[in-house]
Amino acid sequence: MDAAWRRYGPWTVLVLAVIVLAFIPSFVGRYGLFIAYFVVLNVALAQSWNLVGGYTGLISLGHAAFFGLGAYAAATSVIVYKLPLYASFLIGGLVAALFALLISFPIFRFRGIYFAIGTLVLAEALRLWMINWEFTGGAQGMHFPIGIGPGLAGYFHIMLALAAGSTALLMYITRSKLGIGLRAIRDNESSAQNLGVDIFRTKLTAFLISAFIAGLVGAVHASRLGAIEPYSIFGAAWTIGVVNIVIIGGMGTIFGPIVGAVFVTILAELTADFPGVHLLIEGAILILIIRFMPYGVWGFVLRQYARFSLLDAWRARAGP
Amino acid sequence: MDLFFIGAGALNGLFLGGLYACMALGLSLVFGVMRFINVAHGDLLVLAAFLSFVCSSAFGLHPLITVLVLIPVLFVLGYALQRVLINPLMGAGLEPALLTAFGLSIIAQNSFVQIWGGNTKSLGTSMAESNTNLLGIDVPLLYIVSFVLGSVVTLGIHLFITRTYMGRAIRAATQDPATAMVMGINVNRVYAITAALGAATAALGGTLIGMTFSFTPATGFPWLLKGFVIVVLGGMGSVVGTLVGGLVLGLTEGIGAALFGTGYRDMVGFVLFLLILLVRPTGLFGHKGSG
Repeated sequence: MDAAWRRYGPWTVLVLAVIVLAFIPSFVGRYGLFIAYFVVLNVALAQSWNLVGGYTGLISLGHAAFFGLGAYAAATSVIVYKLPLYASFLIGGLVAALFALLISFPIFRFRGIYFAIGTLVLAEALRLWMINWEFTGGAQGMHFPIGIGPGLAGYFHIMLALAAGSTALLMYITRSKLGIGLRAIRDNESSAQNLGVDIFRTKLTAFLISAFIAGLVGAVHASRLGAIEPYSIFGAAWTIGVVNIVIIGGMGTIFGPIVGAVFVTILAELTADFPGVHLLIEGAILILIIRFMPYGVWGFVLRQYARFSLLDAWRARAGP
Repeated sequence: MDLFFIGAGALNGLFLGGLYACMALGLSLVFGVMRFINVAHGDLLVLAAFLSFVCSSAFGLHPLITVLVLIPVLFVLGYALQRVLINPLMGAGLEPALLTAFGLSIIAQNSFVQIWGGNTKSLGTSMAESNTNLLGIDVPLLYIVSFVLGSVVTLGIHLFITRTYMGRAIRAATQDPATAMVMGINVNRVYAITAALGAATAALGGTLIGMTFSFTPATGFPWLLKGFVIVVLGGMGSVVGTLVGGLVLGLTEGIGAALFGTGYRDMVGFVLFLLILLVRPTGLFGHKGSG
């Protein structure tokens, strides 16, 4: 029973959750649906960052670049090349992954802080390039044709599928050989290499998958927005938001980013009447969580649970 | 392309580099001593600019005079934040301290909006308008003043670190905190004083930024990025390297803006940064393994 639960339980929960959540549009109003859309968008983005940041230990601060490239690639293929909308989503993901492939050779030379700063600067350079590039409308950005896309409920379903898909992918990866390699690199890169992990290929695989998901999310979000411009779509706020969510929820856990996304998005909505204040609170919560729950909310819960189950095991062994 | 035009861009950029160095000095100092990336440094600069704005408009003081008031204020602030929030996380690796500073940055930016509003401000002085003619090229007096002040402060910090008793304690704590502690150095206090010094240099850096450019509550981030570029170019924590890094960045941006147009000014600096990191992954003056 226990072994079966360990193997199939999480998948069952995921499938059931998706089925239940798919009915959200029938039960909530437009405002509620809007919040739900942002929650699932944040889950998908957070999982994609979690794969590199949480499981591989590559603290990438350039996630906005993949998101923005996906958005712009989708917009360009729909507006300039007149491709169908759903094909443009895929193109968005592929272009982001292609960019990740191109930068991976130089960027993987950087270690630790250099990697973090390098990716941050790279994303900012790309943003400045997009502001000046006339082909994609420069600082003005681009407009999708009016009436394109499936409406808010449709977009919610697409994002829900992306969020569930990326969560399922992470669940699969963490149990695969790739996942073991990733965590080995995170915990000790030179030991991993000595044990025969192909460092570059393993990192690259995680990086490409992460960029592909972020690009896909960016593409879908761009067409829902209808109009995109480089300042906000390439803004560091996307990176900052997603890193916050993963840290608050719990890096390197499957459920943590989901907890973080729900928590941060709901908090933002609860304090929406006091703009500015909600970010003040988020900053304070971030500081408190790092100090008192260094493994995030979900990591904290897992550790408490592990402590108690260890205690139970010890009691059982000691006998009455 | 007119060679004179490029030369003018280069000279102006070089002078601006003094401001760049001064602005990045606190970031470099804190990183060099504690291996802590203070992502709230940009917000310290903006705080200084806002406080200088308040002082100069309330008492009619010249912004550069207000720096004398700002230095102790930021020194105390830097000391307190380090002692209360960052020091408890020092043994826990790279990310916890970085993310705490990041939380502080979010709090700071939103507090600025609440207190001073989101409008663009600047510390206007007559220095920005009057030009000085050097080699037939007009350079704003302000650039020269900030070049001189920036260089003096950088060299002052360098002398403090290399020539004083406290400086020796700072260097000891940099090299080996555990041994320094055994030798009777209060490492927590050394860290707090380093952070306080870094914040104090931001008082001048922020005021110069406010005098030379305009600022908003969100201005901290682009300056933080420039600061990173300078610190990495200068070799992560070397004080004199920071001065060189600032001058190199200023020069590159000046030439880049003259060649490609001002829209590409910042991008040129970032691309240079990435290229240099490619060739030397530990920066221009970095030692092997200092990452």
